[in-house]
Amino acid sequence: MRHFKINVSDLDVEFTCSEQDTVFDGLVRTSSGVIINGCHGGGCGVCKIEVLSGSYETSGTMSCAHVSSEDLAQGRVLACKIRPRDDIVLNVIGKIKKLYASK
Amino acid sequence: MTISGVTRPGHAQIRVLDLDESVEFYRNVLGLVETGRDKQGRVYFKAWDERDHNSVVLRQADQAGIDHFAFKVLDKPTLERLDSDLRAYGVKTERIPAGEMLATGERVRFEIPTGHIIELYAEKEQVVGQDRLVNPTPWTPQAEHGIAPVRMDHCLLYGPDIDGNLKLFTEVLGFYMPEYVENDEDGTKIAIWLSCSNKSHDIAFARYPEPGKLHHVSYFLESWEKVLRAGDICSMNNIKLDIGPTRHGITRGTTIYAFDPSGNRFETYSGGYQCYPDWTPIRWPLSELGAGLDYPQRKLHESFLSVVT
Repeated sequence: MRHFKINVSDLDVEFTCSEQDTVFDGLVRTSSGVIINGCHGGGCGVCKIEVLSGSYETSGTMSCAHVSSEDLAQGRVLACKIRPRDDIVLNVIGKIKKLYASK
Repeated sequence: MTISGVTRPGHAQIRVLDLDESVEFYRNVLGLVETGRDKQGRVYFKAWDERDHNSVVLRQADQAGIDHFAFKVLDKPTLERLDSDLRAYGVKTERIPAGEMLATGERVRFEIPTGHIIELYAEKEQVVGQDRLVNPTPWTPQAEHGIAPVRMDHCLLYGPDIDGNLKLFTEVLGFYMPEYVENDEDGTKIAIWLSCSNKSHDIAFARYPEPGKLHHVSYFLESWEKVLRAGDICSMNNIKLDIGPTRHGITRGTTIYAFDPSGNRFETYSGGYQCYPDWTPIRWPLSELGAGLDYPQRKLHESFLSVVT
């Protein structure tokens, strides 16, 4: 199984994520000291991110309440619905950012 | 007749992002019984021990959440009376004709102050067989399939004006409030649990900036051990848990919160207590919400406050 490096640029966090896991799975596992969770189903939007570089595969439908087609085209996606195919650099947009900020 | 007016939660219509994946989950993991599909493509389910045709309706949509939550009222005259009471109170109501939903009579639809759509109806076809009505076995093979709750029990909805909901539900619809969470400093109500029966809640609301949000739909199990079994079944099927297994301080129910494949939270719930309309409501100061949510750990899980569909 391949593993990739995920760099969360605006939170200064880096972790490794396997190709089978979603980026959000990796983020939840890595978030020591910060209790974060989301719906993992593409519905609630708390894990919205902006991918700055690196490729990924979409693993399911994301709610249009949180991700428009323009968002999708621009790499603004839900971390629970993408799996890495390359090292990724991203910024966090969704509510989980606030939790990190209060760490 | 001592149970009158609004008698119980009837059904929840839930929006899902991928219908096939969701049907698989609701049928085989949650263990509801599929009872039909309509022309619109909605899929209908009931719990194994429920008698009416449906309690959960799935609709494919491009965003998750809840379309409406419905209550069954005693009979048609009650439905007429409540419709007229709602109008007199200043609530705009709409009639949805019988048959718009499979096996379901005419519905009275209205929006409540938190922006959710609530419906009332008096009639739904009973699909229970004679084997369940004469000399029945205590349970059936369906009671062992998946998590297999006995009923859809209640829901928790998030929105801004829960004070308006409290007034509407208690003054017009005949509910009472067994428990509530109050801001210690200014006395504002942060969350309210409302009952139309002697269950500790049939619906609950929490204050939240955005209207119309779903926190969870809850399914009742008969024991704590079955709640633990539900946790096993979730894990065996890679269903993400949110909180639990644990016990709520509020309502004293044992619980697991988890997510359906579209991220709609569901609860597998057991216990709670029986209460009566004359009881003084139990007050939880906001500073103790952690204990109210997760009594053993006294932990205020952030996702409880922020993850909704």
